[in-house]
Amino acid sequence: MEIHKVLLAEDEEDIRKVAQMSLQFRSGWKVTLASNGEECLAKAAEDPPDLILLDCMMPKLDGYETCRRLKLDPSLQHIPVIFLTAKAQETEVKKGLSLGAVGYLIKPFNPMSLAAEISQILEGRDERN
Amino acid sequence: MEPHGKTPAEILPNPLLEAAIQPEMILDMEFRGILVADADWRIRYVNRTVLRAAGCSPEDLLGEHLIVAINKIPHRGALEDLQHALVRLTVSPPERVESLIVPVRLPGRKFLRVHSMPFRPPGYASGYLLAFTDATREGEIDEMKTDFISVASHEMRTPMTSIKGSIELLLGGYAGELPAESTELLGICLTAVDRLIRLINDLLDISKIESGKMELHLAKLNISDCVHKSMRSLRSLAEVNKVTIQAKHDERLPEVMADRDRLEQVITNLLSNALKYSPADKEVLIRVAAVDNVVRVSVSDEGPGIPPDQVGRVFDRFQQLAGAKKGTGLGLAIARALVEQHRGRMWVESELGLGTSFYFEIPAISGE
Repeated sequence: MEIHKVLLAEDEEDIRKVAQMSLQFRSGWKVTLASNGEECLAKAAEDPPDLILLDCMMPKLDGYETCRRLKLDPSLQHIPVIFLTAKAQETEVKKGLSLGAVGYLIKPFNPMSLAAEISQILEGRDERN
Repeated sequence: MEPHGKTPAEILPNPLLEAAIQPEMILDMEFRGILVADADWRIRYVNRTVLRAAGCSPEDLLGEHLIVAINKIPHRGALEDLQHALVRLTVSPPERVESLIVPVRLPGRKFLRVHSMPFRPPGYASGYLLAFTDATREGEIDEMKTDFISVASHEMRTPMTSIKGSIELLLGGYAGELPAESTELLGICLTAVDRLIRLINDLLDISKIESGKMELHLAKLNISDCVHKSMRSLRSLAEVNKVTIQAKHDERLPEVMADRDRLEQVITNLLSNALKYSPADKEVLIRVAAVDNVVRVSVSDEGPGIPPDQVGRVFDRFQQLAGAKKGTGLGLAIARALVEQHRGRMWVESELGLGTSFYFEIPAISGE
């Protein structure tokens, strides 16, 4: 699948910024930012992206609940979701995959390979479909 | 001279002084539980403090193996952690005075300190002396410290991640080609940040272990697979240090129940230590063998060895021995705690000038 627009929800401003720079630099994707789950849902509804990256731990609405709501929305449920998570939460995020996400990435990520890792997850999903 | 012109010895008549220092009276003092076991861990003496805390009569405990005796304690649910600690003691007996704090649920007491020590009086049978003291305050402070480390480490990890990511972007050409000096300086930053991240991860591991929040995801596995994966991850370190890693495995190894990631962490820690201390052009040997009901892994180097007076401290936290190479000082403490969580044990043998071998064992799955 072709990616043009990515919506990234992450509560840490610095990490958000580094991830945005990295994705724009390495892949040319246009990256829109949200700092929590609520903002992510609002921005996704306003301008549906091709891919949503969701941090698991966020204030207001965490990544899991955000994913669940995205998958209940007929106009947004087709958008692939990838979780971003700390190593310590790896087991939890594996459970979170049942909510409909296509995969997860472990933080800290290497900004030079982040886009490639995302593409790999999406290719794996395309092959399965 | 005392105010009344008498010295303490005169105030306290000598016979009374002698009575006061009768061993039995000291042993029965409120604050300390005393237990003496023989070399086979059969209980030979307990004082009244132990009997009171256990709610048992002397007949219940004397002559029984320590572990059997614990099972006779009416409210042993409150002493579950103590029970585990004592089982570990009998499996790997203390070779010198050792002490640890365990949580308990006794009236007014949340933590006990257990001192254990072997004794071998000349001309008498050998055995072990255990002393139990109230360590509630100490334990609570320790808990607060563990919580603090956990929160502080989490808070430090996020900015570290941003720093690391920014450096990697710059080194990757995000701001165009950099002058050689900038590349070199950023390289130094990246190495330092990586080291800090390792330290933070180690601190988080230690705080999880100490607060009992370390969860293992157990699955059947062959330890050889973990060894191979660790060896692959250390290939470049081995090349830089010009050391070869030689692996030897028994042909038919039983499987173990273990957490793959954590076991790899243990093996990687031992191997990377061995690589760091091994002289160039020498070999580091890792052996995986089936011994009785366990799988035993040993990692041996031909490095300088550990001085005998320091061998006993290698597993202590933040214990960097004289001449130690850069590290967090937590790796071996974590490795041993992880092995113990797998119901195993870890120990070290070292000879000055000849090298060091670290060993660990994990129970094999029976019936293999």
